[in-house]
Amino acid sequence: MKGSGQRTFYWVFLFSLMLILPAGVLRGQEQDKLVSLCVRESGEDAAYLKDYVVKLPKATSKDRVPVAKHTLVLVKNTHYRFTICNSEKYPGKGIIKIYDTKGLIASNYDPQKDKIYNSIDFICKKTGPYTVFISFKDGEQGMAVGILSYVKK
Amino acid sequence: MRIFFSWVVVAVLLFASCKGGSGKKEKDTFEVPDSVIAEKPSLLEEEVTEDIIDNLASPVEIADLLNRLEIPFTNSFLFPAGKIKEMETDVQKAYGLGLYGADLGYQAMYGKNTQILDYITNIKDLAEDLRIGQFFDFSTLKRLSQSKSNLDSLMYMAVRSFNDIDKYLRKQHRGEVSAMIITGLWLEGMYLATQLQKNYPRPELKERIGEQKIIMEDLFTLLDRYRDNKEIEKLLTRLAPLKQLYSGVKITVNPGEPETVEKDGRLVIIQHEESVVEYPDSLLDDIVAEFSKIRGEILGE
Repeated sequence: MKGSGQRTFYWVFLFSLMLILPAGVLRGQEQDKLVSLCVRESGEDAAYLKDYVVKLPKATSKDRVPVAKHTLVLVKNTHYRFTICNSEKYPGKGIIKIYDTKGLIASNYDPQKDKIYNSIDFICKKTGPYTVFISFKDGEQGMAVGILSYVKK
Repeated sequence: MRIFFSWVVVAVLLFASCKGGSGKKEKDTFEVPDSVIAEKPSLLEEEVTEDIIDNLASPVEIADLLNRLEIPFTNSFLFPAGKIKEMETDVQKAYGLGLYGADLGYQAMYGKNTQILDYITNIKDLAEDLRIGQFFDFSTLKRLSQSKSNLDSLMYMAVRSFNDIDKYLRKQHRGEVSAMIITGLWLEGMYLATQLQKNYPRPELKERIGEQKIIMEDLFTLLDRYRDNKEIEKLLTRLAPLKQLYSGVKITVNPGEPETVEKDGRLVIIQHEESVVEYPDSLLDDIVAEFSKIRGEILGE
């Protein structure tokens, strides 16, 4: 009886793993696809440096918008490009905001025109740490890939 | 049955951690709680030292600068491929992975593929020893290295693999390995930059070498977390004179507001706040000599 119970447990456990695993693998493949697509979106004149995969839940209120944060070093006299690509499976449209130690210096969202640009170029004149925030417009649930590249001359 | 079950679980978990034969990997996905508010990010002074900083020692921008300044490629500055045999511990191997990674980038940026396969092979061997070999698709890298016209793709694949390794090691709490890879990348990138400055002096390159003061401070903060590791402690001690030299580099910031223009449907932001690096040529000579000395010690010279 004990052996039979154990066997059942093993099979249930194994079956559960088999159900969970493909979802994880698919999610990884989907992310890889989105990164590769977004690298192409960056343009032929851009060379890839970093990718950020961001998946955020829907905001619970207007004032509390989920956000992903990354700190990175940018170098003077380098022409950078930030490109964002959204997963079609979610409604959210990604917004990138770049801050230095003093405040906001660049964003792909123009609130006056209510327009989100797919990419922004940043001509850096100050070497140092910058923080990149990625969120989704109106706090929608979303998944996006942000690509940092530099523009070749 | 129990043994069979254990093997199945181990196999499944291994498969999950490697995620596919193409060397693809865990991605940096964030499930950020909505307690974090987007609209009011705090200032960064403290956060910067707390966070792990991306793109800290990217040799790509340095190699790009060398190329832009039309500084000729110099084969003799490369870290000898045969030195891999002397890398024994995980920390040494991680350091070597960084060194060879920087040299790979330098060669690829200049479209030089005669020796590149040796460096790819070394990177593969070191990565396998460090149990991160799944991130390098060696056969594709090898194929791409055969033709100069594919070196852009090779560069993309190599940079992406290094990024994925960094993310993976952080998740696996093997941060000291990641820190040593970053240090290797940085030191080799700086060795190349300083030697080339010595041989083909350019004001832009002098400035780039000087502004490493900023990078070095963050690198020391990163390494300091793993001071318990004897090899990292030894490295920190070895790098201390370099830090001392860099204290003589003056970096100031001229204020300015960013300018936004739309060009060909793309938003372009031009930063007008500018960092200015000042230091005497005699200090540059000392910094060049110190990087050379450190590199010589690594080579056992």
